[in-house]
Amino acid sequence: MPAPAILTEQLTRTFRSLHAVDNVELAVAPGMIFGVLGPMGAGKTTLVRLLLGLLAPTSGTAFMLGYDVRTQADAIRARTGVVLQASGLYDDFTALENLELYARIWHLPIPDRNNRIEMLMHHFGLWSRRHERVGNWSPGMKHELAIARALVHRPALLILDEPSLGLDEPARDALHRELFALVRNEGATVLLTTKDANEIGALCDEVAVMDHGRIVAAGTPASLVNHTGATHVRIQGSGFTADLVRLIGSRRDVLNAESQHDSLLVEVAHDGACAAVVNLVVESGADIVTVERSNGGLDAAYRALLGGVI
Amino acid sequence: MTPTLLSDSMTIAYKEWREWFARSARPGWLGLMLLMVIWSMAAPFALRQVSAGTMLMVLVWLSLPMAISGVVVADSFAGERERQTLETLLTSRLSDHAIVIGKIVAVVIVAAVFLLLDLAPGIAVVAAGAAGPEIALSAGRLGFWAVVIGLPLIALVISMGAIFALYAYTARQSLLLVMAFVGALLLSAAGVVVWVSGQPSANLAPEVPAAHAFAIGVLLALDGAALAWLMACAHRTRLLALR
Repeated sequence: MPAPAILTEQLTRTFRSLHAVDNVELAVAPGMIFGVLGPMGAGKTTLVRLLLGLLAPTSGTAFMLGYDVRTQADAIRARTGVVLQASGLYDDFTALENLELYARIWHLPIPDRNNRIEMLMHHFGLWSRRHERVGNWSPGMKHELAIARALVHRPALLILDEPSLGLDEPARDALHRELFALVRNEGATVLLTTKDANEIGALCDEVAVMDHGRIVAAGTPASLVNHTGATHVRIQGSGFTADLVRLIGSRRDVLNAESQHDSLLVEVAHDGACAAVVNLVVESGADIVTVERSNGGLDAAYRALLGGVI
Repeated sequence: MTPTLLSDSMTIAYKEWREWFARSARPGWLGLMLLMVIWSMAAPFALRQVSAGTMLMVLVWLSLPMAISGVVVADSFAGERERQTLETLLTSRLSDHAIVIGKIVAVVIVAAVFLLLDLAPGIAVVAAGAAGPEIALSAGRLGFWAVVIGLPLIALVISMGAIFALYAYTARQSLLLVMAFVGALLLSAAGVVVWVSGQPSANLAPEVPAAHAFAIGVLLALDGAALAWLMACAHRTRLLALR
């Protein structure tokens, strides 16, 4: 079995009394797209900074591509491409100038540099706009250019910190398609952080859910869904009052409850809660026509994990 | 300095110049240059009754290049941090020292160009006798002192400005600190000039007085100490103001 591309053991970083990253244990196999899923303030960006050697760990160890983040951060950064939440592009530079700057930083030979930049810009459909200043570009285009910049030196590891933050859905889907195709083509290992469970489901082979600096669950997206057992219940009928919705929503094993037209949509943490919810509806005097139960998917599993139910 | 460090530093210096002199910023720079030329030429006229021909006029000439150097160095470090381009740069293979040296080199060269632009018109005005025939002959000496004192003073502003930017949380805070430092430095230098000369209107001696040589020695020692401090504290965590 190949050595992990990313390996952390009890990795911890504190800021005074705040445990921004708390005993994090990760093992990411080479060639994998690995997601770190968590809400704002969960510690994802601090984790990225620790892995890149921008911050020193308070305790614990971390190895990236076999290099220690404490003592060999230069070697890690030399083999890694990074896209942070802010694109990091120079607004007064053209798209081409932005890529050329980083190609120079990575010491790419000039013929290779030009070919590589042209290939990447063609891939993202940006070649025809290469002489435009990027300050006027949309966030989606900037993200694409930032990813092209991160890949210009053919990194063995790509780190994306909230790559689709601020993008609308079509732009996000396009970015996912392009990113997925490119990464598979280049054979790089990818670590991406996000607070969007759908993004993880669309892209990642494995995921770790992070909250308050700790990893609260890890595995494949499918295993998380099965493990948490979050379930959607759709009750069709009439008489679903606001008080009933509030009463159902106040249960500890209910993650979300809302009424829409002639339906009551309830998300429960586990199958056992379904019967209790239906009982509440019956006792309230509402009329029930049908009850449907379905698996809630990764998004529901994620919310269940953050709700502290499991 | 290794060839890699040199090459990386020059890449950063080139990047800095491209950023500062981007098309959108050019009118601002031209306006600043015009202001500097006017300032430089007006100083001999304004000071002719008070202290024309003395070191005080040199300090007046140096004040604008010093202030501009302070602003530019604060923007180079803290400004880039606030524009959120610095962190991406720090995730690259560049060493901390390559980034810092590149930025310092970029500011030093711009400051030197501004110093020349600032001094040349003023010295020409003095040499032409427009500010009074009595000081026309001292134009060469004024130029000499402006360069000999100006370069280490500006170097000190740049080093200290970079240090302030590393310790400040925001670009504005960094700018305020460096401007206060420039003001204090100019006032202190004026105090030293008055103390050395005995009186504000004293002409410069043709040879280098021991007190002046001592003052320049102290200035160079301060330059060295500030640069050493900067290189010691310039690591990624501090460049990003992560505490």
